[in-house]
Amino acid sequence: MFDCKLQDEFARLAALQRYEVLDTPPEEPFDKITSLVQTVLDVPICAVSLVDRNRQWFKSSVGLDVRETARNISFCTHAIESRKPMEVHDALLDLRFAANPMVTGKPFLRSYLGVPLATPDGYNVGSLCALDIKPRRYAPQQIEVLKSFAAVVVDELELLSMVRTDQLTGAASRRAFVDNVGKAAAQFARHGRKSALIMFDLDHFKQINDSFGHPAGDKVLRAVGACCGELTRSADMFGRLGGEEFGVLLYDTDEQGAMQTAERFRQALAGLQIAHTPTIGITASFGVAAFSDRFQTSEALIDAADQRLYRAKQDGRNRCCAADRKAMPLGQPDCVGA
Amino acid sequence: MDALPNYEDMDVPLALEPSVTRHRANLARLVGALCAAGVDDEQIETSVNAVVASYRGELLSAIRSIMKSHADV
Repeated sequence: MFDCKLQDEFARLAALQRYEVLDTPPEEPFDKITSLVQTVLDVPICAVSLVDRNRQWFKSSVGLDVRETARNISFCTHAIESRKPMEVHDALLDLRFAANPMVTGKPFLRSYLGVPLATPDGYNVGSLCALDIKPRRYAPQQIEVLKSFAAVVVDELELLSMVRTDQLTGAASRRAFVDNVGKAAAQFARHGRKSALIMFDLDHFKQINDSFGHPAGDKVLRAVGACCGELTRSADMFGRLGGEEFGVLLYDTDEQGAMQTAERFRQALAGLQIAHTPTIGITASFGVAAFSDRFQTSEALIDAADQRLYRAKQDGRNRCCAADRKAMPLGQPDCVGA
Repeated sequence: MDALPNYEDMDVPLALEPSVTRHRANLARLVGALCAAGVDDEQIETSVNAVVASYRGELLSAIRSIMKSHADV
């Protein structure tokens, strides 16, 4: 039977991206599972492999000394093409793998058992795999064991994703957001990749809670989440940093570009009419900073944007302030807004 | 093997209930699979305890995150 989700690579990659797990540090739940599989199935190598566009990346592995390999030499890229476990008894006898450099060279793989990691909505984002350096056939009961562990891996991925998403607004959680600012700082340091940070805070939000109650406050936050989620480019990240404070991480963007984006967000929020009796309108104050010689670390960038946000509040709220005057058009002040 | 955890001691928010239900079912399946594969009781206990401890830790983080998303405002 034709299974369209197995053919939809674009949607599969989007499902993988939603987990926001690629390039994150090792985590105990996954390491425990690979270690248990190694013991229970008595294999030298086990991995939680996530199949990205051009690579497989290991969230956890035992017996391997690399964190990723090219996708075109990965066994798991074949495993995710099916709903069923994939077993390779002897890679040297399998035309797909006989010339594979991981078979002909280190670590000299000979057998493979991989179970697809299927998201609850049906996309295979990777596989839990057991590998050996000798030919091997697994008993059906052993395959069931690996399938059960694979289901637990997906449980953990789902839970981790919930921790990394703010459940009220749908934005990234503070933890996930700050992690990504840290990664952007590393990319700036290593490759000079420009990224910018917008931080904003809803004006007089306490008054909304005090006047209309916390359910109305929640409704406002959800509306902000929906509005800003739509405005955020797919490659960028929108996060809730706490209370009524939010952030937008813009990749490949300088401070001037970030100011333009911030102004677009400011205008959109100021135009929101949130259904309530009476209708609730909101404004927000924005601080903007970009990685530069002055702000090279995630802490420095967050601090700079936060200081500009504070300045926007002091200057009368409902405005955007940049950390660097040069971000503003000639002759303009370093803040714009209503 | 002790009964599988039901996390009754944790105030699981509605949003996480499907995850907990799915996880309990997956744990039961794992125990069954390990038994059928002839894994000894001690290893089964070790495996399940490790999986439960990890999930419990992440569940707690998720609960805190959800509670905080409301309590912050």
